Amino acid sequence: MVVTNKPNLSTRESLVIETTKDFTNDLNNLTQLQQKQVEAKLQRIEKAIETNNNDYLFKHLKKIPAINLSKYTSSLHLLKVNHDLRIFLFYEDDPIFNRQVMTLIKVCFTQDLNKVLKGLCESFYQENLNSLGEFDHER
Amino acid sequence: MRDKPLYDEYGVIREAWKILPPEFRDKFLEALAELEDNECHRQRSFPKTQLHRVTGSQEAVYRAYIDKISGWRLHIMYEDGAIHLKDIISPEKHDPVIEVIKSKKYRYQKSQVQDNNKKKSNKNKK
Repeated sequence: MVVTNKPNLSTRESLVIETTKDFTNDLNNLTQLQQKQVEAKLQRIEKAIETNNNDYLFKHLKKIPAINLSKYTSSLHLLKVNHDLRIFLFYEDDPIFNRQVMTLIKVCFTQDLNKVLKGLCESFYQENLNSLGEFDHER
Repeated sequence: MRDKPLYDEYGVIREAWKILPPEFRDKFLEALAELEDNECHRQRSFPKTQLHRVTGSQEAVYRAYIDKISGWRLHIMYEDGAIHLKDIISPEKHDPVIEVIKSKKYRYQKSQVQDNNKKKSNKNKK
């Protein structure tokens, strides 16, 4: 079962969207049409943020429940672009700087989700990873 | 102005005294002092520790450098307006690399309700 946390847009002053090198490389490896689809999705997210449209983000941004860490809770989320494409991103509250941060990490095809998720967990969580379940991307 | 509360439930200061080379002890104290400094929090500027959010965790975990060149650093958590020391990290442990090449800021629209609530709380303070 997918557990989702509704993002709370009302408590912070701003949201920062960070694009990583890996994300840009993945994007460049897609077809032109796929790139346009990803960019269109991100533009809709930006519009939702600017208009405080909480429901739109809640509908399209899903937390990944399969990651079990020893020290903290993972902030890794999945953004659905379309039936075939997903974006992995970190979505976090930053109270000291009064903002939220969304870090775009990877773009991948739906059939590669679990493989990419495993790689990301190994990179970012290393010895803090207790267990990693299979992620049901159909939900 | 009161300083920011700083808690050490996990014995980080004691651990630091055991493992931190003596030449970094002064810098460790300076780092703690900056984390407690309410003026730094008010201005959101931490020049000594270069305090920044650790990516990857839902909890508000931050990294504060004791000495950036050597790699000694602290992990802290920010909860209910207070700083909680979580861990002291030695240079041998490497942080995951996230190469951010672009960063864009979007301001949230303030709602009418938020504005009214802010006015009410300012009025009550007077």
